[in-house]
Amino acid sequence: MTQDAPDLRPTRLREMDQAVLRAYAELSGDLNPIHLAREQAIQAGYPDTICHGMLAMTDIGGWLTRVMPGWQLDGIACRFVAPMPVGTRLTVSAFCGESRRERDIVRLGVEIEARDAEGITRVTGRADFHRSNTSER
Amino acid sequence: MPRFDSRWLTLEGYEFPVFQARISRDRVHRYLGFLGQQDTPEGQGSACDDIGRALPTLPFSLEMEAGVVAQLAGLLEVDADRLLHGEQSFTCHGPLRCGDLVTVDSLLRDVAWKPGSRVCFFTKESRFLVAGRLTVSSRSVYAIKASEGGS
Repeated sequence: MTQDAPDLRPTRLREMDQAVLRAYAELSGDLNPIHLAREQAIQAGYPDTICHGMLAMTDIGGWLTRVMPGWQLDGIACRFVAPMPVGTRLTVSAFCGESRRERDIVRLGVEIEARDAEGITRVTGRADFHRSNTSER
Repeated sequence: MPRFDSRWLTLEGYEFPVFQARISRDRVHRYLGFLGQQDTPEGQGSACDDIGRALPTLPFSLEMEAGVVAQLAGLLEVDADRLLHGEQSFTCHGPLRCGDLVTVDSLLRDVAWKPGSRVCFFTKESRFLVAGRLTVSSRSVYAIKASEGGS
């Protein structure tokens, strides 16, 4: 871990149960029935309703901004490696890369991996942050 | 499973209709509530002045409500539930504030058919502008599993 890096411990996010999927669907406007209706999800080839990838990304992004106070998010990218059935609970791990100083700011890249309870990788990604070189020192 | 349609490849470069949406304070509070962050500075009013970095995925909901993904499905003539969301990225260029009227333009940047894996990938790029200033850009990759054949 670099001097500038925050302490990011693996964290279990909330269970993405059907109530969470419905709440996210209403919030985001993504009302695709594969997220909401079991029968239609099965017809589409899934064993049950499927979590929105964007729900996982929202929770991961929310967690990152919470555990990195003082850092400004410059960008976040996620790859939804495998469908996440309803009830999935992700454990997210984040690994800081080398920080880079540019005049009065510090830039930091964070690699992300989220696995389900069986240890299967469901989401990978990267987030980029910066902060003032003089803050929190 | 839908059949691969070679017409899909000709849609590369398609520009989706530009639309505008306002970032309401209510929407931001609902997002923060969903994330359990209403007790944070971002959730308490003034910090809502800059919501882009706190809620990187919120701009996506503007596109969903405007039906951009449904338009893509319609363009491809497939059911929306056949579009698998494979990748998503957001880049923050500047603050996005409560009350901002956001202009969103989206482009189907790339269409790639992988016959070996029988998957067609669609890359959509979007820009979120406020008063002509770029605040957020995004890149979405959707995939359709399709059988060979079609016109």
